[in-house]
Amino acid sequence: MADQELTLHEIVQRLPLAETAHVGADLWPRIAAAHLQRQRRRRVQRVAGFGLAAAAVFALALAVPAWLMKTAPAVDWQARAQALEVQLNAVAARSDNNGVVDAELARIDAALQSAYDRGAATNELVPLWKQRSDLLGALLTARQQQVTLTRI
Amino acid sequence: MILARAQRGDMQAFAELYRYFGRACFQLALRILGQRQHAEDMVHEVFLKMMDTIRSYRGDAPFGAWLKRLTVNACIDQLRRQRHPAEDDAELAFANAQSADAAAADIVDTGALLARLPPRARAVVVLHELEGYTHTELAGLFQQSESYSKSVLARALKRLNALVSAAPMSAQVLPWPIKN
Repeated sequence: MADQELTLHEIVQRLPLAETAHVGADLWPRIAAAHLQRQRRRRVQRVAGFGLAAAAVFALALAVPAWLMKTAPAVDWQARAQALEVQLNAVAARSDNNGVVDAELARIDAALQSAYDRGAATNELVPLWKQRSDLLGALLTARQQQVTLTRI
Repeated sequence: MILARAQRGDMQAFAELYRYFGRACFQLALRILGQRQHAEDMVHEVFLKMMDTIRSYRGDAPFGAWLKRLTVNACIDQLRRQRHPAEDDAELAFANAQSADAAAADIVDTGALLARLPPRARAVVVLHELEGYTHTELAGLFQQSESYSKSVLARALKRLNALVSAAPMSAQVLPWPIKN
């Protein structure tokens, strides 16, 4: 039987701490080195992640417009020009003997004729039809508003 | 001041915190885990975690208490990783542990005394008797019932009593202080 009754706390207080209860002298340098190494690794991961994200954004910036151009419906400038011409004829013409517009229209028509005669490719024809369409559209607007078109 | 610098990631401030708290952290881990190498590994782990999370320390509790909580949680996690099915049963855990009679004369310090207990029982004794944890808190830490914690503690104190009776200092171990 015990001579006296002590609590565990008192016993522990009385018992000395083991000699081995000293932290190794090299522990902090190891911790600090591990911390710095982890920081470096995270920084590299952040930079790599940022680089990947930037590359993805750049690729998207390149790909999306090309994709949009590919998927956007092509305007049929020839059909549009022809439709505008019909509308233009339907609007009662003022006495707009507009030499500038007629000359420009004649120039475009000549260029179109020449291009067809040469068997030009679509990429050469489309801009000419667009020019003709724009000119007719402007002329139609001018007639509808009863103003004279002086410049294209 | 040191804490503010540490929260900005100042390594010198971390070194000062280690000088202040490293040994206490090591001793607590050593008492719970019972092995010097494991305790050092724990200090390593706890300080790395502290350096990662110190920005979240808001000063609601003293820094030492916050760090102690980190240490205890890390030690319990370690014990749970080493979990042996027998330790879920308080009786089996003690049955598998070393005999109380063996080498009682070797008990010359706290470490030697606590080393005679199974790992989880040692953790329960240290946390309840020395660090003031309640059985409710221990049940949460070990993910066990409160009765498990109480049972482990009772058996551990009985074991310690037997050891101390056989040891030269001759004293009986009682729970300290009375808690739930």
